[in-house]
Amino acid sequence: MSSQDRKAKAAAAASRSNRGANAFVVGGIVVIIAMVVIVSGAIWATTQSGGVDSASELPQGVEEGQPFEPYAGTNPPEDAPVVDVYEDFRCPACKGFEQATGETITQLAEDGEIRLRVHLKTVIDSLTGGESSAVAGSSAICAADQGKWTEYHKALFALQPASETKDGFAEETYTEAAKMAGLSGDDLAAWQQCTDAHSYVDYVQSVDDASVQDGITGTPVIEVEGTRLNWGGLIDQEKQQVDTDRLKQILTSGKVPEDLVATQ
Amino acid sequence: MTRQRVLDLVGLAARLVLGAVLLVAGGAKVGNPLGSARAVQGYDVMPFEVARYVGYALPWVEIVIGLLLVLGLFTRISAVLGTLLMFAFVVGIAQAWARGLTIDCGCFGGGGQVAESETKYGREILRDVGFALCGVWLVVRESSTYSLDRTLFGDNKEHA
Repeated sequence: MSSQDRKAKAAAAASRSNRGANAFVVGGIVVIIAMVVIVSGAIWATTQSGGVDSASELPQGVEEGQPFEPYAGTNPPEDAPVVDVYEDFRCPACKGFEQATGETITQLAEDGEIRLRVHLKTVIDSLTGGESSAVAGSSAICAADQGKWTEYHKALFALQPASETKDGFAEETYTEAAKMAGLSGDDLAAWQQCTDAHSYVDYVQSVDDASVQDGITGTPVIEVEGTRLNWGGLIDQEKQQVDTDRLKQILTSGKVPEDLVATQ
Repeated sequence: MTRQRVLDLVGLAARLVLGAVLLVAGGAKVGNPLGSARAVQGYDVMPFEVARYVGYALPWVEIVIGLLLVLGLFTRISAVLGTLLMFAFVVGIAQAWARGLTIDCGCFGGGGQVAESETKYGREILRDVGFALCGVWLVVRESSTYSLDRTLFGDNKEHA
């Protein structure tokens, strides 16, 4: 290499370093910022779904991810058919399901003719963001703690917001439903405290996780002894009424007729 | 206009297309971590809990890479990452299709199970391949107009 070449190279290198920022320094800063953004974003997301402020309780005698049995107290006989209902208080089809079949199912469960297991899900939360489905589910178990599951369940569905937004139910809607359910005095205060504390939000989310792993990602779903029932097939399209007798017969027999087995 | 300049403008277009898509896709998912987790879980390629955290982090990864591409900072590395991301999405969608899963890609929010008639795998794959090609262009020819690379590191990086 001639000295002239060397000089030219040195000059070129000098001009480069004068002109440009140090790529390693800038790169290092960018990498650090990127890591911080991604990691703190993921941590923030964890707190978003799974509320850090929630009290994280489990319903009496129920494990995480397991369904809630609102009528366990009726002690259905060992051989009573197991009926699993998957629902979300914010899901419009679930409201329709409740209005069409709620009374029948409740009656059978109260009479101990079926063993009802309710899986409260958070499908609309995963569509819109927020955790209103989980909070609503939590508030319903709070009502069950005060002995008002049936009434509150019905009232809250009746007060379902018309549109599915991130905000979901307004806080005062829960209280309105509680009063409609007949809660008052100390019971209402205890329910309110339980609801405000988001006591069962984590539990409801654990149920949704468990059911998603079992392949149930939509709502409402009703299973009789593990077979999915196409409940829409029981609705008389003209009268817009459900065939209550046939529903009763299916639930109490524990057998879904082949033409009413849901494929999806 | 010189050939050089035209190619630089193509680079700018590639940066803006891939970068903007990543920014929009990440931004659409960032406010709904549960939905993002459910979308990744819908692909059924990772353990449930792993998929949850991938779902939480993915929108932020997309935003960071998208931002770097739009700004034109470390274009080649960002383009490599963006392209790999797009290929991962294509592979994910393709395996869901091949296995007969019925899911929405969840590319811009949404996601999870849908009815069989609602799947759009072919279109989703073609679209993502298109975005990946923008990335490939930048990997091969990094230089582009209006980039922070050029502002910060000068012209010497241009014709790499």
